[in-house]
Amino acid sequence: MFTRSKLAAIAFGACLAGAQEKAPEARSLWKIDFPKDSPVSVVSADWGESRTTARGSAMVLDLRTSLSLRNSGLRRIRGVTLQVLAQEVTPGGRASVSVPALHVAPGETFPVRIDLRLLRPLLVGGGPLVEVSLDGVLFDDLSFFGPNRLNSRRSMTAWELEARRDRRHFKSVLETEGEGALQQVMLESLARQAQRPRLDVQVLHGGRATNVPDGRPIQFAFLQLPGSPVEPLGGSALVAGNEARTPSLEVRNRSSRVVRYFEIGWLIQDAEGKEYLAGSVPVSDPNLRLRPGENWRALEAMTLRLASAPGRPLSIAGMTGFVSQVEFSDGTLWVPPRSALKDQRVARAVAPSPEEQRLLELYRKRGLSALVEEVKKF
Amino acid sequence: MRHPGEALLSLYAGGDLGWLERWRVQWHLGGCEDCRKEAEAFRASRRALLSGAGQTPAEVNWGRLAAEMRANIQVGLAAGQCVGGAKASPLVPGWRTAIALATVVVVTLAGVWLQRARPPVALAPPGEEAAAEGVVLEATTDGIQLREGSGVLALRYGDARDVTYTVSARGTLRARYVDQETGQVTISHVYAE
Repeated sequence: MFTRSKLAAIAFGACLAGAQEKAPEARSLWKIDFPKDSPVSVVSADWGESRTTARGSAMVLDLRTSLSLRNSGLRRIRGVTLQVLAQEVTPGGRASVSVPALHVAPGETFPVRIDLRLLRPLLVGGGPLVEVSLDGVLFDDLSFFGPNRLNSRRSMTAWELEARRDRRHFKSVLETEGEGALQQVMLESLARQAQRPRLDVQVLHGGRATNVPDGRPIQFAFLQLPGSPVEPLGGSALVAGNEARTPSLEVRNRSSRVVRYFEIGWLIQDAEGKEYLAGSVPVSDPNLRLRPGENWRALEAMTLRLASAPGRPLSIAGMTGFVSQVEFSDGTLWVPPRSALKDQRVARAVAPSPEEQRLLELYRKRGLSALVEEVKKF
Repeated sequence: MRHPGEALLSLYAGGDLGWLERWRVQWHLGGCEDCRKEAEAFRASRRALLSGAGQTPAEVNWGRLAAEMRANIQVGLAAGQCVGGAKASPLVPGWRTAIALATVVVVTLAGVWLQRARPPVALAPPGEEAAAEGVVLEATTDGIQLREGSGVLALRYGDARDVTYTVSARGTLRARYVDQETGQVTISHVYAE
């Protein structure tokens, strides 16, 4: 009897042990893969707070790492994008973490924090769950290194152009009007951020909307920004309640250069007239070669679902578009000039550039003198 | 301010606290956004689990399980006779049978529990069919995530302020914020394309 009971207990214990997936070491869940000739190298990776938790028959993996990267090249780094893949969890799904507005000299190190949460079934094969690789590095001369699978070159170049535009603006304010005026500009920007309405978003890509069966077409109104190489001519989306579907847009190239990519910023008005920046409609057809004077019509199969707060769907009453980015066939980019932000609607709805956000944070944490010193650097 | 532990928050989210403890946790949540988010996360997990629980997996063959249980019991009894010899009193085999039966039942139930269908870990509002939606990109209380079936890939930004979301019609969701640890402007993306 003793022997049988013991055997039964051992068998049962073994079963239970199998039920509790071993909490693997965070290090074994990650794979960091940078090219050998990368101008950015990994100095260290801190896996400190990573943990795994069983929730019923699913496993929650909180993977947190702070990578310390070194600029091992010869040029200053302005931005970096890391690709994050978790193919076992979401086949085809990708993520990335970008750090723009950097000023990293050769030999200097800088941190990049990645805070991931994965929810997956308990019983999935072994091996690293997450693969982190370099998608691109942007240098101060706007040259680029990396596979660019996520089109990070275009994004980081646009952020850098916006950064230069905004630094010029702040420097000009400082030089012509003094520290008090710069402080006033910062305070106005902080006030705009505080008043900018919060929007919760959900994007359904490749599936169908489930909340509402039908929709009514709503036409876009357009803001004409000074100097825009592309002119929006018309557009609409199917709207039902808090869902906007299949936006379509028609534009004309009014520049003298061939356009291969452009983005239309998308503002949404609710029933109370409050305006939100919902997103953008990028046109990135690989075949797009929009010659001077030509028109282009774009249609995107997607559904955008909006809420002004969790659980409070936003009723879409109107839509406004504006050209927010244009890329020419030679790879150069156009971004709206600083004067476009004089339009109160754009200024209220659109977030500051990454560089302005960085300077605002600097001002908020370290005060005016630190800001002045920073603005004078470039 | 002393925060309630994970166990208390979990019990609170499940409605399993006594009235005094519930009141104390509720009072704390009224003034602590972090704990409120944590409690909401527990509640969402519970909803997701409940939506998939209680469904017996189609692949469970009860006839086969019953036959295995009977066979195991017979093996146990036969083994008991071999080990115990003929001296056993008439009461002992019944007791042994009960022990053996209980052990087999527990082991079998554990096996069924382990093999049951995994519930969809749906973070969407109740009633939404994840499968019909395909790939969903969404903002959550502390990050952005890609949801596809029962898999979720989320990038989190913790307690960052002034987070800006940008949606691209090509199937990208972006969150821009100042990382509170590094002080750097950081931009997270999830891609459905």
